[in-house]
Amino acid sequence: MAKLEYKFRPSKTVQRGMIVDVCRRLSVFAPLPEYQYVGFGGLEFIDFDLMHRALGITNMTSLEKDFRAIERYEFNAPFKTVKVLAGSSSEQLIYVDWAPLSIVWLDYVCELERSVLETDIALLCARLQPGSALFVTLNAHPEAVEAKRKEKLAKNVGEDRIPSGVTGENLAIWGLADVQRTILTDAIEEGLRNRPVPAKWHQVLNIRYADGGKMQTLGGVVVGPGMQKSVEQCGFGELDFVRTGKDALVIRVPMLTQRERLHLERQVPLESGASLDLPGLSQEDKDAFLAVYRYERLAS
Amino acid sequence: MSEASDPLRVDASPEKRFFIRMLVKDIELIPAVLDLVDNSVDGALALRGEESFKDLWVRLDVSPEGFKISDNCGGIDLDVARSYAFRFGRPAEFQGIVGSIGQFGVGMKRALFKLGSAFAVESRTSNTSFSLSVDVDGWAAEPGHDWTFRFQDTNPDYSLPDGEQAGTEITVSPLHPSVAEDFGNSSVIGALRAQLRLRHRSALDRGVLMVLNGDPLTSFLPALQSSDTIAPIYRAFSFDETVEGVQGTVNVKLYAGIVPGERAGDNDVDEGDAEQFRSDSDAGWYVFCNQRLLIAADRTSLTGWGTAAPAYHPQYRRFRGYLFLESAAPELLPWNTTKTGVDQDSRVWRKVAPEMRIALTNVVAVLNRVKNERQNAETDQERPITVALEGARPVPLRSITTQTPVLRFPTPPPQVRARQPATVRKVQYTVDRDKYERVANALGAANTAEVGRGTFDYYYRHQIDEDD
Repeated sequence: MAKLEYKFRPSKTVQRGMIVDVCRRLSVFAPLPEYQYVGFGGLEFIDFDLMHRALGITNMTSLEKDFRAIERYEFNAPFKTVKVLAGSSSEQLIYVDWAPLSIVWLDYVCELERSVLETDIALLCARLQPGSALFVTLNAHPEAVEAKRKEKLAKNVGEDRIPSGVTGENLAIWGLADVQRTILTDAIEEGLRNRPVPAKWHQVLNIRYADGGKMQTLGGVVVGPGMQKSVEQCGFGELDFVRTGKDALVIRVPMLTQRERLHLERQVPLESGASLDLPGLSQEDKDAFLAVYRYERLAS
Repeated sequence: MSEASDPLRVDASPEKRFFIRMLVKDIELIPAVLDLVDNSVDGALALRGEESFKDLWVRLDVSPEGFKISDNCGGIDLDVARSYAFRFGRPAEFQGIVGSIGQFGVGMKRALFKLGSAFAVESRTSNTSFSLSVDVDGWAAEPGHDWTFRFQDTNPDYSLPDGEQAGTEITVSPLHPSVAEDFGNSSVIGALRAQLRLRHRSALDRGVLMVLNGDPLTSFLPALQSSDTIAPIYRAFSFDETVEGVQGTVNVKLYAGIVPGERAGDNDVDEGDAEQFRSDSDAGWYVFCNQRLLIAADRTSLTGWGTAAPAYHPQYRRFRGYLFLESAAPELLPWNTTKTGVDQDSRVWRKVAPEMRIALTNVVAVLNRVKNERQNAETDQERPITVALEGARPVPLRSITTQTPVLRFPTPPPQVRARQPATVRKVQYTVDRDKYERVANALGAANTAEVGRGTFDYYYRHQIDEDD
């Protein structure tokens, strides 16, 4: 179970809203209720709640590795159609019926690991229907001691996966997130390329945030042969938080009082050229507010 | 004008070296050996017909130093040897053996040429015997058009001594360098072994003793545990591929699952002792290309062990996986140039390897659950997979027709309890049945658990602490 209660994770909440916004665009491929949602619901099932309420998805599966208390997770499932599979994702993902279009969110708390790549990612790359979306959240907090960073990464993903030029120094700050994105992207692209009918990866999200430790989320769509036009019709580019490459969106939720927040919310959306008014608030915080306010209270 | 100086004359007579090269070009090593074994088994068939093959044997000794196959399956008749067996091509009038596996004409010579540069054949039937040894290089280098071999020794009126058996012994030495190299490779020997067990399943079941490098072979019928509650993985799919201008369809069939425990009480054996499990040598992946077994019982990273799945460990000895690749364009199939192994860079291999890894991970996870049940479950309700596996029967692959992308087991997935806390220990031991019955009677115990408990408590009360 998560250590922090979700209501104290403002950036995570914002990110969840962005994921939902991306998923809305999948209706180009099929009506959203035809999608299934697969995730790690935990005890709170916040993402499940949102996927059902916001997108109308009913076919939902939560993977729960804490199978000793599985009844408790089943008790907490918010809707009748949520299935809880008891076991780790590497064991249980294969038992999901992958015939429908899927939205999958692997919301790990760990860093990128070999087992994630070789079991979960490998399976999804082989099974996800074209038009499905995959989101992967990872711990991206670098090891404190510079000299140990590369060693730790090698232990996690295997020496041979580390791109050339990676050093302890450039793994600092968001450096680990950069490398993990590269490795994960390589693995996804390779997995999709080696399908009997090859598919491609179209990245839409590259998010970083730090409610506590640094986290990152990579998201994208599986594109089958002849689907490129449909991907364009999805209009992901219209969403200002979408990132299709190495460049990442950093979500930062400014610390505001309730009074400040209400004051700011009455000024948005801003007309072009206008700026937010709040005594003493830095421009940086104002910009941060503008980037996230729509997603802040979607689900908490 | 002499013939030689006739300007219109074209010499189209075959050159022996060229002929040998052409003859062996299209046969690979293992099939060549199989051809020789086929001859022995055909001999058994001729000798016994529908009767049992008991007391018949075929021995193969295969090493980088040389190749030897010997049998007591009736021998090759001198006339057959003289007129057919060593002749190039099978004359139309030769009847052969009803139901025979081999092609008695081409197979033997082709195999011998394939293996090495000198061979010797000794054979005796109940009334003839011969020996023949050929230095292939020397023979090929002989000038002229003499296409005959010369027997060292023949006896058309042989009389088999009492107590001795008719049979054939063929040795090839020296081997060609590439053959010697392959025969020194344990995976090639492993594939040969598995191929013999598959191909000669019925002969082995009829009682012939087949020995490869000292190890007797048992018949091998690929089968996986199956029942109403357990279903092995079976996936069949095909895809089009183009490799270096060759285009074609590759048909894939993948089976993976669990085989029965090897012996009664298998569940109780300590898994830590790898030495106990010589018989686990069958565990692993089998890959067939156009029905040719390419790798047998593979437990390396090639098939996902130690990468997607944990490294092989005896607790996974009940795993079996079979991959069959078929294509009318054999260039597409992932074999290496000598067709004795897998080319990992092959496009087709890259497309099937992920499916193998997925299947392996799936079966291994179920076997982990079985282990967990064994260690922690006390009642049958707590070990549903073990019970389901025990109630399942091995079903031959050809009878598995329903596609199942996952290894099905009782649902909902069983909840296994965590390891018992360290403050509790489980005691297990085996005792003489009669003594057990007497102790059980004396204790009035209904089952082994009660006997164990009662005897332990008895010792504890009398030797440790009477009040506790």
